[in-house]
Amino acid sequence: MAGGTFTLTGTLLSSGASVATPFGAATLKLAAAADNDGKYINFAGGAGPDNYIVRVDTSTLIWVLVGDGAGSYPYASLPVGFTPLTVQLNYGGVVGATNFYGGGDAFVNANSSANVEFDSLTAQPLIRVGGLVSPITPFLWTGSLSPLSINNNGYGFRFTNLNFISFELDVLTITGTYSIVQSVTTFPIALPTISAAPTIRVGDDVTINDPTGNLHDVTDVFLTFEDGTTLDIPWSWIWVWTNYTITFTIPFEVGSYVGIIYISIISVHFGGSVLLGTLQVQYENATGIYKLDPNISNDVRYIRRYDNTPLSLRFLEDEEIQEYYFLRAPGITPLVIIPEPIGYMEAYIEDLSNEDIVPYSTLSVTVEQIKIPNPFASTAFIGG
Amino acid sequence: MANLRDHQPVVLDKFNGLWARDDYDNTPIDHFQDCDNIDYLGTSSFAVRAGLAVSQNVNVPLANVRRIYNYATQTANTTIVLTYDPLTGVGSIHHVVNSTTTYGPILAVLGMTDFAFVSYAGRGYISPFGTFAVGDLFQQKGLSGQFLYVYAGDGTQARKAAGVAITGALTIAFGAAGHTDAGTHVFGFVSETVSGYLSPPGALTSFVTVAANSVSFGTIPTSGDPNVTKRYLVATKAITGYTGNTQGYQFFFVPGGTISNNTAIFLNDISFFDQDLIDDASYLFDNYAEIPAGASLTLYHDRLCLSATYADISLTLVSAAGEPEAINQIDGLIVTPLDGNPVTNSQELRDVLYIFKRSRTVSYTDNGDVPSTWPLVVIDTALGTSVHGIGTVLDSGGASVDFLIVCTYQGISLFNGRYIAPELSFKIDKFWRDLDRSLFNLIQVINAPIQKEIMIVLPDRRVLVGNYANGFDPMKIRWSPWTFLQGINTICIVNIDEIVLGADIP
Repeated sequence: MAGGTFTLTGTLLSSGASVATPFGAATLKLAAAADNDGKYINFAGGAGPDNYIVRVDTSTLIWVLVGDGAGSYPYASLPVGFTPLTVQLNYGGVVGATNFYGGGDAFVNANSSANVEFDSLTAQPLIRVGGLVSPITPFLWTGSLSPLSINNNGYGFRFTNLNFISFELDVLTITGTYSIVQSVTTFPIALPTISAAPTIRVGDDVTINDPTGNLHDVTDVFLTFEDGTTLDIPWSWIWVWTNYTITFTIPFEVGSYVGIIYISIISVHFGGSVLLGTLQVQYENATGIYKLDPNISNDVRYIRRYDNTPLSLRFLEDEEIQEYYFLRAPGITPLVIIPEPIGYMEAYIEDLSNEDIVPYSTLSVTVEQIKIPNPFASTAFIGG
Repeated sequence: MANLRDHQPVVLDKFNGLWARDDYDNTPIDHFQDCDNIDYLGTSSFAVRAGLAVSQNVNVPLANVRRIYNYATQTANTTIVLTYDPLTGVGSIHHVVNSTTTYGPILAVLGMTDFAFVSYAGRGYISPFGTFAVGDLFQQKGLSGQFLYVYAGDGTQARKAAGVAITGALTIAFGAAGHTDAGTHVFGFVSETVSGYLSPPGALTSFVTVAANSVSFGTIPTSGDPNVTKRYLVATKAITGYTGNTQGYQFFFVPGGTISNNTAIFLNDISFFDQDLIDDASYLFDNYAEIPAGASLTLYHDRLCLSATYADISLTLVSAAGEPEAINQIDGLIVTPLDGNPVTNSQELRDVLYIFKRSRTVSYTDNGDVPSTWPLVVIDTALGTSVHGIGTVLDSGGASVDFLIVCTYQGISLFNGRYIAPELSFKIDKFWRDLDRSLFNLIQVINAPIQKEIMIVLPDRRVLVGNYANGFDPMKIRWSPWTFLQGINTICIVNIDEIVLGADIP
């Protein structure tokens, strides 16, 4: 068990006449501490009834922790195990104001009341009727606490007045104490890492490394494509699996995909899926006609690449020579002439029309030798 | 071998392949509980499978290969290949003659994701089909608005099979001295395409012949079909009480009435007696002028059988014997009992035509009469197969050693007129049942008798290999899946023992 103190910061919401005006140009705010910046909340007086409410804008609250887990957090990111122990609302008057609370000469008549509150049900009188409260005491909340209740309760200030002179408030703070309840773990939380070539293709290997040796807990390895679809790595494509290392081959299902893939694992060790990293997938199109050859001990596959070749075209009318480029796109037999080099190809190919396509007989298709994917045989269970 | 104390060594000297029946602990000691990419040697050994080499030695090899069939032409064993462009949705068929020569595309059809094929007399018959969602099921049937095509095998474009009658009218006059049976005859001409298809009689014109004269014909229409190579004169016998209607009579081929081209417009001095009119041509009136595409093609008794058209998934069209493009719209039809599922496959075995649905098998036997009269026998109401789920050998779908290898939902079965139990895939029952049923149309099976192996392309793009060198017995066959980085999706066997595989983009 460990802990510290916290302070909430954020903006304030108000209703009622004239609340914001003397508070200055600055946004109504929940101060982290008394700032003496000359800006204050004015509950204006005068003839007739006045009703003022100032409340915390819970959507803007930031928890400033001092102690264990020190830092500034929105509610949703508070450290695991954060538990508030006490919380109080603090307030103070403006020095130099004619009628201010805490300064000694504020006046409240029998028709007025001021309350500080966590919500409308928990109001505590701030000023006794017909007199002053001195010294100023914070409003300590004694009910049950949770980060959620503190965040959402809407602490504030409520003041009603009938024929009352103005009332001013300089500082409104919310502070408290907390603890962090830590669970006992037998292993450090450390994500495995991946190692692979910067750009990969179908058939390339990707290795997952975990120095803590917890990869035996992995139940699934999967890829996520940029469109959100996922692909589980079949077990047959995972060919090394130890506590410290998993090595798998990018399967053919990745096909001709080009772009980023996200590599994740599901493990009981992490209680869900964990993103390990991203890799850039290079275009791959190994489709075609193959034959089994008992005389070779490896596979061969086609490699198709985008390619371009400068071409000078002579226009007969004006003798102008202009450079164009051949575009050779995998899977497209005709050659395409484009007016830009290869870097602009993707944008251009979307606008292709039949007029842009001319016959061409040589495409950039080569072959490469690759290993036969992971031959193996697992025997039956032997012995007892 | 040294022994550990109190432990006897276990000798593993036989490897009988994969055992995948969902009980790993009970895997027999001479089997594998898991394996990949291994092949079996001799009777008890195994090694890494054969490598995969490229099949085309050209600058622009075909890409995105969806389907390959072997195609036996008059002079060579070749392959016919479907490629599919996912960007345009167009399927294109190519004729790969050898590693350096490819014709085509000989046919390009929008939406053709698969096709059925048979070769007959050196020509290739092509039927484009696709997969259609019907509720939660997927059905394979012929494409809407598409037809049976015939390919000559020479690199020319495939064309629609069958054809229409010649149109126009004849100018008929008495010829030189000759002989006929006097009376009113109706004459016409039948065209014949290069593939032997005979069109319905057309240009029907009546003429009253006299006994002492032959008959001469002028302004004989030519066919608009450039594939027409011959035209035949047809005629009725002398008609008593002719009403002026040229239809409704029995027509016969007239001996000697052949024009061996599609250009001549005269045929002179034809003499014949009515008793010479023997060869009937009337059946040609009822033939399909264009034959709708289907999902299955096979040959039975020299007839072409086409099944699962877009409009009628249980219909099989059966051609006239020896005339694969002549399919009678009235009596050339077989309707398999309707059960909501399309016909998926058909195959001849031991003189019987077996027709398969995904979970039903029936048979028809040629009784010498027209196909619509052939008797139906229900073989099995639970087992059937998919569009490429019957083992084929060389150029005919088929029968090898008097059986078929049929991929059913329950496993890989031998079929000799009934499904033999236990199925061949007994050892890998769990493995087979784990396959995605909705993708069984992607299964393609071949039998390689030289290698003594069954090879099956699976829905997940692996190839399942069963080595039967130790016997075609469920307990002796040795299985192994093969995995390829290319993502194999089709397979065929050519030149006796050359295994050709194709891959497209997953």
